[in-house]
Amino acid sequence: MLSIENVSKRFGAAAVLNGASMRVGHSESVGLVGKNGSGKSTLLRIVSRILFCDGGSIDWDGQSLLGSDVTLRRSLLYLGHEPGFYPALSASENLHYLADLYGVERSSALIAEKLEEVGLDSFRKGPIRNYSRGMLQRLLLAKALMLQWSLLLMDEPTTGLDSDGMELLSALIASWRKEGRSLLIISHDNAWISAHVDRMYVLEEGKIKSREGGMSAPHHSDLVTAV
Amino acid sequence: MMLRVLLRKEILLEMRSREILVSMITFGAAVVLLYAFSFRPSPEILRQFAPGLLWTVVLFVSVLALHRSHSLEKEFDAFSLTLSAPVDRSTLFLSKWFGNFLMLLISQVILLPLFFLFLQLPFPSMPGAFIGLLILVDLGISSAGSLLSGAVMRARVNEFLLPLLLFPMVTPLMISAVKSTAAVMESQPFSQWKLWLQLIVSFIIVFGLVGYLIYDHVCEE
Repeated sequence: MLSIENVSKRFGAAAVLNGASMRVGHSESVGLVGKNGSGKSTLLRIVSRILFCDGGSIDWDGQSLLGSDVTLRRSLLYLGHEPGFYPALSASENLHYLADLYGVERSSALIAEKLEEVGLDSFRKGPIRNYSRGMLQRLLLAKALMLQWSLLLMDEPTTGLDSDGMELLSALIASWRKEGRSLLIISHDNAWISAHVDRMYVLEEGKIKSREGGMSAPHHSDLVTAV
Repeated sequence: MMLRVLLRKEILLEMRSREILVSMITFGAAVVLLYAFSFRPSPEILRQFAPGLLWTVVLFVSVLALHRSHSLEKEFDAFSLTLSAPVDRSTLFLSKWFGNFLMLLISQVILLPLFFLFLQLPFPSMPGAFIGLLILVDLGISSAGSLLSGAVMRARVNEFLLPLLLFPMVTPLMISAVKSTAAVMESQPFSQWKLWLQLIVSFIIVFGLVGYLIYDHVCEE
């Protein structure tokens, strides 16, 4: 289980997160919504250890994710709002590098298969600098298909996707949920995210104010305002 | 193992983008030509100035590699791929250090013959000591430079900040490099420039260790 307790983060004078707490259980799909600049992406980047927090704790199955033990990060995968790949390299080269970083199989056949699954097999050789936003989003999905993770952190996964891409994303999320994997998703598309999560949190003024489902449910108006 | 993966990525990025080496060699050659044609002192005076001229060329050229090595990570937020992966940040620093060192070394293979050719200087009579010195000073520049480049990468004016911070920081290294290179070019005995060599080695150890220990915090957004 992912447990985020009292996480705070300041950028200069601005307190972006101010005691944010939330949980994502095993086999659970959780949404996080909030206004622009409310700190949703910051929180995901802190969980992924791209950013450091100023205070609080983040645990995965009882072990701190903020420590220096890097092996724990194999369980988590971050798909950011930005592509997070090297634009000068091809899709295959980026995925080769990714596989090396995580120490998983990196055969060209496997990479070609994953790229085919996301509809990028015919574009795998050129630099991804020339990719459209939707193609980069598909490449992020290939990243998720390449690795064995237990918790997937997705920041605006629908950005730039066409209708086929949206269908692919929905199908993949459904299959991951079926496999019992945990998901934490940020999206501005309230209707879309509602269809893909078990419950939702709202991040407002640096705090996670309300929850839906088993815990305290947010008011519908809160969600609408936040989104 | 992980260091090899990260270093291979650094080399692959340069092979694909061809941005760092081409700009280093072009800029370095331009500075050498500028030195060669803008003043024509007597060979004696030129020999005295040569170590200083050589290391200013290397320092100017190194800024391009050091800046580019981290700015390439900013495009497409590519750094997040490595930062969120199970990779020790100290190993990441080592890959940046050795990657930049490699770029400096490769650029010098081309720039050094140009330097001696255009300034009509004889190649040092102690080539082993001279090349050894080059390697050590390159290691020093790339250790301090990789650390600084990582620290300023997210600053708005990082391309100005890097040389502004780097040049004062490497001043002790540059003084030691100039003094020891002059001694090697004049074929002085080792005892005459041993102290400068010790300073260079100390610089490498200090900045290598500091970078290894604090890069985790340095490369944070």
